Amino acid sequence: MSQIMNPPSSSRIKVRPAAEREGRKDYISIRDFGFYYGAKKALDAISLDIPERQVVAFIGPSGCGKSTLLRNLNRMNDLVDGIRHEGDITINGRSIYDPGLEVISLRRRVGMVFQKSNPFPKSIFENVVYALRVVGVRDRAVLEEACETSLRKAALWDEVKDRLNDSALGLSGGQMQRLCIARAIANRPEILLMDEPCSALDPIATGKIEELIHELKEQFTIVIVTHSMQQAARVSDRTAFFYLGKQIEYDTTEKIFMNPTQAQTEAYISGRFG
Amino acid sequence: MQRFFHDELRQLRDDLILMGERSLDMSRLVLRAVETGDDSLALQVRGMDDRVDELEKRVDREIMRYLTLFGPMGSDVRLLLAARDIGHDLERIADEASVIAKRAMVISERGPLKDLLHVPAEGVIACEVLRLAIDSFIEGDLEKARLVLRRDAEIDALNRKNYEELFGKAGDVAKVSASHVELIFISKALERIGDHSKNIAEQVIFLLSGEDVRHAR
Amino acid sequence: MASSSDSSTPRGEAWVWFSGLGLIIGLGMVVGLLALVLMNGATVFWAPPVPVAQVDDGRVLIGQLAQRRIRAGSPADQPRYERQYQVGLRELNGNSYLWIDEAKIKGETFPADVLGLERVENGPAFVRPQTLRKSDGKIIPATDAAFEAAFQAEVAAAAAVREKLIDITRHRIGDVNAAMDQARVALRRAEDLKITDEVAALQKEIAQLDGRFASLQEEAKQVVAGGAVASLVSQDAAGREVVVPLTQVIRAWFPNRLDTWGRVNLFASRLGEFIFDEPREANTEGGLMPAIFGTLVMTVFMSLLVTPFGVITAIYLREYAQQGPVLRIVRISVNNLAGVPSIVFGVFGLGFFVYVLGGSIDQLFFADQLKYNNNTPVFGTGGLLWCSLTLALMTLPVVIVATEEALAAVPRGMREASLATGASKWQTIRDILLPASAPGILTGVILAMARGAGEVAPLMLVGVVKLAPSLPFDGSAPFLHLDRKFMHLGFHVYDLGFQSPDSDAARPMVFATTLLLIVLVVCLNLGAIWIRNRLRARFKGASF
Repeated sequence: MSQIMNPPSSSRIKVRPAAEREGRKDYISIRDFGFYYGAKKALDAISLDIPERQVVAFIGPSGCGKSTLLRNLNRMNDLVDGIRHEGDITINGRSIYDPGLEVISLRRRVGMVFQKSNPFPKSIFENVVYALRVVGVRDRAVLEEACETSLRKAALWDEVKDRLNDSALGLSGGQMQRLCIARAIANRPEILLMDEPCSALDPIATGKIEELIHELKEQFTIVIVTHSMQQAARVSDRTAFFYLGKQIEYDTTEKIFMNPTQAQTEAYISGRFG
Repeated sequence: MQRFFHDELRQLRDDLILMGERSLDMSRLVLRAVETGDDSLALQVRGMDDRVDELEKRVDREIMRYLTLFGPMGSDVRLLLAARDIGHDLERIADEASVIAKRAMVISERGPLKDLLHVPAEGVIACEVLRLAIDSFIEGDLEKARLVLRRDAEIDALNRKNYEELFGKAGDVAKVSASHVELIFISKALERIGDHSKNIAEQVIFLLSGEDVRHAR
Repeated sequence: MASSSDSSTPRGEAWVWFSGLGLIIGLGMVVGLLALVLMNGATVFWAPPVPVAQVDDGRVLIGQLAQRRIRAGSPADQPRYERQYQVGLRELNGNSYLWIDEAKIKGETFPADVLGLERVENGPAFVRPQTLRKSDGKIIPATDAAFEAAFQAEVAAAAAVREKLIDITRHRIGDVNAAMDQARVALRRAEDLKITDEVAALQKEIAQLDGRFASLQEEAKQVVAGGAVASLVSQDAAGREVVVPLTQVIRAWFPNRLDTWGRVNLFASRLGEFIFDEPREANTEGGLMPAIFGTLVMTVFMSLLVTPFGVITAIYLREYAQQGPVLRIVRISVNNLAGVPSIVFGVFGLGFFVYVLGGSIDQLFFADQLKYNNNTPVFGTGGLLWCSLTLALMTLPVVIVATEEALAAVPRGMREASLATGASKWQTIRDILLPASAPGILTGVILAMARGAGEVAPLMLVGVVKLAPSLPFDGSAPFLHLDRKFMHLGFHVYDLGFQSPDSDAARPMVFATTLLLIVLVVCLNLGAIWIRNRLRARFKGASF
């Protein structure tokens, strides 16, 4: 009973409130962005600014384009044939479609975590330091230190510190996803993209990852796509609601969920959609 | 597992306790103002009411935010619902204290009253009961909450006694002065403070046990 | 409403039985083949008792029973049999084997004094020994109790002398001859180019080598003369006297005196000789070591060639090439390559690799050697390199297809994860995709090896010979001799079966060689499968 009246403190690190954390307001700036798969228009005139060190959630029903928009932020959609875009996306003032910018260097600054965790069939250590090896780091001491830092940030170090050389495929689902997060942040990117990272996980594992996002937002700018409104409400500072490729509303999370402006938003969050 | 948003429940609880202490301070202060006829105390109490109002709005915002964003379950829901009512009751207590302060200033304008009837005693009990109610929330103590429910009767009794002594047997209207009428208002306000304390205790019982003991006869 | 068709047997049950039947038939065929080869092949090494048979026309013969079959033209209800005996002594009997109508055999006895001999020349002999003349001159009659022991001792001593002689003549004189050849070629070249001091030096070297040659020959003579050679005097079936110098004897045994343990010992000894020794008597006797070795070296070298080619091609086809009609045509062509008859590859290998490529290499790098060595081509003729290349080309489609499938089976998420980390396409392929598809690639290599080890037709055109003077991989630099011709088990089978002068003698060897070839391929496959299992365990999570 006294737990209700006197709950202990949770966070391991001090996380400042959103307003204090916020850095450059248009850190990621999406301007009139349209996107086509062949002839099909997947995104229509999206314009929004994602500030530094905030968590922004993209919500909306299936097929609304939220994943498509997310994957454009690190140009992963370039892997698909026949795509076309309009408008622009800039990160810290520089367009990601700048011909002088190598896609590879963009992806090194923007980490990504996928819906289905996909660790490589290598050891845990090799998984985490893959990003560093890719940029040419060979020094064993540097790699080991980076591995420990990443795994600590991903709240996985205590669980795996004795078996870094074991295969990554022997971990549980939640641990694997945290490993993928550790891998994504190992090379200290500025931005972390998460595409429904918890949809394949049970509530406890999901809770652990949400705690992680809460801690990481002190350092990283995070964009998360989620089909769970409750998750978006818990975890994000700002939320964007999409429907059929269009941006319906984008505002602080409190505003969106407590008193949204658009009727469609209200209908979606109250479950009266469709 | 503690989640990061559970910290906001802590914040809510702290704000409620702050409201309670403020309301209690106002009640004690205003009682002294009545007894001593000190207008400065009465003015101080009136000033404190604004702060309590602000706190009530803040508590309500926090409750609304928590309900919307974090989807509480189980005892967290009872806490939020109880907190809404407790905050409301505390704000009413502060209002009553403010009213008492106004009445006290009116009395002292006309000149100090020699006979304060049972109002001081009533006031002491009202403050004790309020203290009990707040403590039952802070400590999560069901016994204290139930004690509050029992002692409320004492305040009601003293309030009736004040009436009887003033307007009682023979209807001796000539003896009643304007100041005495103010005193009756003060007595009524104290009785209402007791009622609000009882409400707070009922909410605490609901929070701790899930039992709804309101409107019991 | 229940109807008569409402039974609880699941539909399609009959097909399960059909497929089970198919499996049994297939397995049965494989097992049957193996059993046939095993039985026919293993009997080569077994030494049964040897009868002395009386034929009704007065002949006597001593021989090991080889075959028994129904006489051609005998009535179906009353079949008449004939027997084939291996009588040996080819120089006296004209033929080692003899067919006798079974009905004509009056009786058989198994006297204990019958002796079997395996000889260096002229094949085996079955005789009845009379006396042994030892190397110290003493004569021991066969009836003497000490005869058998003394005999085996003398055979062992004679074998040692023979070994020494082989060492001198084949190995050391052989080395001197090779050095002399090289020196002579260099001399001719130096004379031609008129480099006088080199000419002088080479002439001195040749003189030195001549001297060594002469001294080695002396040594050989001494060895021969040194020990007076022991010999055995015996009688053959017809009573003729046969004198056998014991240096001719490789192995001797008394077939009617051996117990089972002795026979097993003899079997093991013959099997060992079969696998580890060199052939004799036009490949009909002796061992198959050079052929085994040649097959192994060629198969391994072929695998080493085909793997990188196949893997790189598959990576290009799947990862880098533009999807479109051109790519589809390329893929179809690669798949069709698998259906081309193997002899066509042999012809291609001969025409392109041997004549064009090999000729060019000879012109560019070995022009001197050609000029001064009677135009003996080095790479312009068949050899290990061209054989391996031809077979690698033949098995390439298998590796390409297996690699492509393995690459396609790597989950898309892994590829995306690697690219999202900022790895380039090549880094993704090298660090993630290739290790993850290694088991599948190895499957392809196993299949390629199995196919390549068994092909004979193309090899006949590009570098396999009946009898090779040296091994393609030996102790002399550059250790792997890509230009040498080599022996191959598959070719050996063909050669024995169809080209040997004494087909009866060759028959058992054909089966034994076939058995050995099967065992070799199985061992290669098992080795590769073991490697693949190790890889799978390391990369658990891979789907191949």
